[in-house]
Amino acid sequence: MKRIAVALLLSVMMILPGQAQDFLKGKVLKIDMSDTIAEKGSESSPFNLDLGLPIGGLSGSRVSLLSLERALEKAAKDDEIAMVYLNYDKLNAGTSALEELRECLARFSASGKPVIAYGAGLSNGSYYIASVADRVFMHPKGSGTLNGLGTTQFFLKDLLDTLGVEVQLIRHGKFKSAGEMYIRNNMSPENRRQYQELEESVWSGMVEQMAASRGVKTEDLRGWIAGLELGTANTWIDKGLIDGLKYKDELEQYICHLFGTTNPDKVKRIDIREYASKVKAGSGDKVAVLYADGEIAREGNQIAGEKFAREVEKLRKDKSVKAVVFRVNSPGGEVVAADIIRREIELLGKEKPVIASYGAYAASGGYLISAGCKKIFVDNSTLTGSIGVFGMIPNVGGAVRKILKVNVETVGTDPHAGMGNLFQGLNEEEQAWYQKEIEGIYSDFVNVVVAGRGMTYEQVDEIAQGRVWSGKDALVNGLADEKGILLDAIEAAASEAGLSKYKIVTYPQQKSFMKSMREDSRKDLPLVRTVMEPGFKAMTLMPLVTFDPEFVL
Amino acid sequence: MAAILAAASVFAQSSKDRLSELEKATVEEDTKPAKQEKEFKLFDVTGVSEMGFGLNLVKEDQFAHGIKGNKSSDFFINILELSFNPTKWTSITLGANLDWTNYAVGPANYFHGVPDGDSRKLDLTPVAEGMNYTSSRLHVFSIAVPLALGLHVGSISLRAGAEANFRLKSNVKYEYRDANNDLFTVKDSTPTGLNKFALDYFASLNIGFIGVYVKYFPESISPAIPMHCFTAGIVLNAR
Repeated sequence: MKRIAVALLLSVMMILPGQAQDFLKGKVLKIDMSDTIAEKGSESSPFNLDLGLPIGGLSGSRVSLLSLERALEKAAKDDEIAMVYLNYDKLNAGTSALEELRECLARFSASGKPVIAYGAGLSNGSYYIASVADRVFMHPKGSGTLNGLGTTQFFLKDLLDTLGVEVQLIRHGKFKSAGEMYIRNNMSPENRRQYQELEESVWSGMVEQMAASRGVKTEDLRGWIAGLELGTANTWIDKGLIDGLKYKDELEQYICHLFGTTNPDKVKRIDIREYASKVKAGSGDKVAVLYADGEIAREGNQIAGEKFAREVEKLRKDKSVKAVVFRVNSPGGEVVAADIIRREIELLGKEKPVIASYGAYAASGGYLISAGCKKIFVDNSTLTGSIGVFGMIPNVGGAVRKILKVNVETVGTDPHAGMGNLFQGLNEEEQAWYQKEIEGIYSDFVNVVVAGRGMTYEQVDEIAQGRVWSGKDALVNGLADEKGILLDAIEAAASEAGLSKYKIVTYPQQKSFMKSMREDSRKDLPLVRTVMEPGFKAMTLMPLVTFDPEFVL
Repeated sequence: MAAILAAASVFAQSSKDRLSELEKATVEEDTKPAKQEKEFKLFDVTGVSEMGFGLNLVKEDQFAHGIKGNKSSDFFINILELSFNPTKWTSITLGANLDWTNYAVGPANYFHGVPDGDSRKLDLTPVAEGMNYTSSRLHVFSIAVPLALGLHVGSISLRAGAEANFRLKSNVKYEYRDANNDLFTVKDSTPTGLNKFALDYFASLNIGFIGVYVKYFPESISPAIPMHCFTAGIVLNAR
């Protein structure tokens, strides 16, 4: 006991003012880039090679969220890194990516190493991430405001009526808002409520975090936002939301001061992309991160059902992969394609643990393909759920008659031979048939969630109806299990597989630069694809729907 | 135990508190220049990293051939270098060099081509009596692929290795005066009989961007001409 007391006393004495001279040692880890922070980076591009030429950060270049998370995780423990400098003006990322990055910065800061944020313009996203820093500085002439989240929707019914185009929307789920823009001139009450609550759920979480980081009351911050009280740099300082105003050279001097020098050349810096490139993938058995990023379709450049299923099959057969993290960032898509993927994930789950980790969206088809995973990790701002289905059949016969003065007639062998034809709408019987099909698909969808989440049909039906939930609410209603970033999901997957040491590999595997260039050059907007592909396709501005019909989740 | 607790107490301090302390600390004006550190890369690719110029010297027993050490020269330029740096102090490099070597002889012997079927074969023979040769040289262009081990301490680096030498082109030239004192110049392009491939050895010592190098050619340039040279000279590097 005596010895412990003496040791404690000695350590307390060592904390006394003498410690203040313990200046920072190491390098500044810079997050100062205009690259888009995406699920998958564009690291295979030769433009990312360090040729010593000033062509880094070309518009369109992406850096992967996983690489940044791993870089920050390593930096927190790395003696070579003393602090993080974040330029919040340039960050280009969605809300979910910002949330994960924010969490990583918070963990870095918790290791005792400071995070300094600087910029000139603050907005919802940039302040959300900057507020986690230990010090937030702004250019003296900087400005910005927080104004909350909002959704703007267009409604085309009047326009389509004028043109003579009719859109028949068949759906299950009062909240299934996809397609409403074609059949209404305003938001339905359900849709309005849904968006209001969704936005409030996400935004309130963000405001709470910002307020907590800055030591201000949440209600005060909400009041300032509602009253538009934030604007010029001084208004931010007055409210304690930033720590000071500095010009760039003053900031340089401030950082030098932390390192105990006045000479900027003595403060070494390293860009986070360069640091991330040196983070080893690990060793030993593999944990695969399988990305489902984009819309789900039978074919195409995003999540192409058959092609993706083959990747999953490869993972299943690869004995060196012991666990899988299914990283989903998809707003949904075609039913059949989604089910093909779901089935392969189910088979995969029988052989090795599969943990789902959601990015910005895992909604509708994106939720379907992952509902059966062992555990689901979400961010607060993830948009998920949307358990519902719709089909959309446009009828341009009126437009063609009205505008082009072309009349169209169909002759068939059977009463419904021209069903779904672009130039005639569905009659009552045909609508009823579609509705029945949709109900069947909806029921199947709910049953997938029932099986995957261990809930009853009634429980799922209540939270389904096409409603979109935030990740925060999904944790409450049972659609998700844990709040956590991608790294947490990887850790959980490794733990499920009993791995203390592992190597992280990503799937689908990176294409060579030349191959991705060839494929990217063929990527068209859905509208253009409609015109170019043979056969009739419904013209929509959303995930492609054909008249075959192809139902869309 | 105290040290451990003290260390733990530092890390227990939040980053905000640490910043607050550092902000209050006094920092004196720092006028000392920063040390320039070269960035460490595990693999590196560089172009035009080195060029050297040296004089060809010969083994003593070759003096009989009359090789003029002060006019026999060697110039090379590195056009590509791949390096693998397992540590900050060591490297393994593989390169591609363009090499121009000039061998000057005289006055007792001269390079020339002798008829050999349809071609002319390189030879080095004594001049005919009464002939007055003013100069004679053999010029060889080769591509060399050096493989070297390097040791680097600060700005000093020592490299040594072997070089695969592919002799691609050569030509000879000699000048002589006849009995009327008229000057004649004879050129012979690409005579045969040259050893197309040779394995040579080299070493260099650099301090900063400048250094010295030696190269040893254990094989003769031609079976007909037993001539073993080594080159020593200055090298400039941009690594």
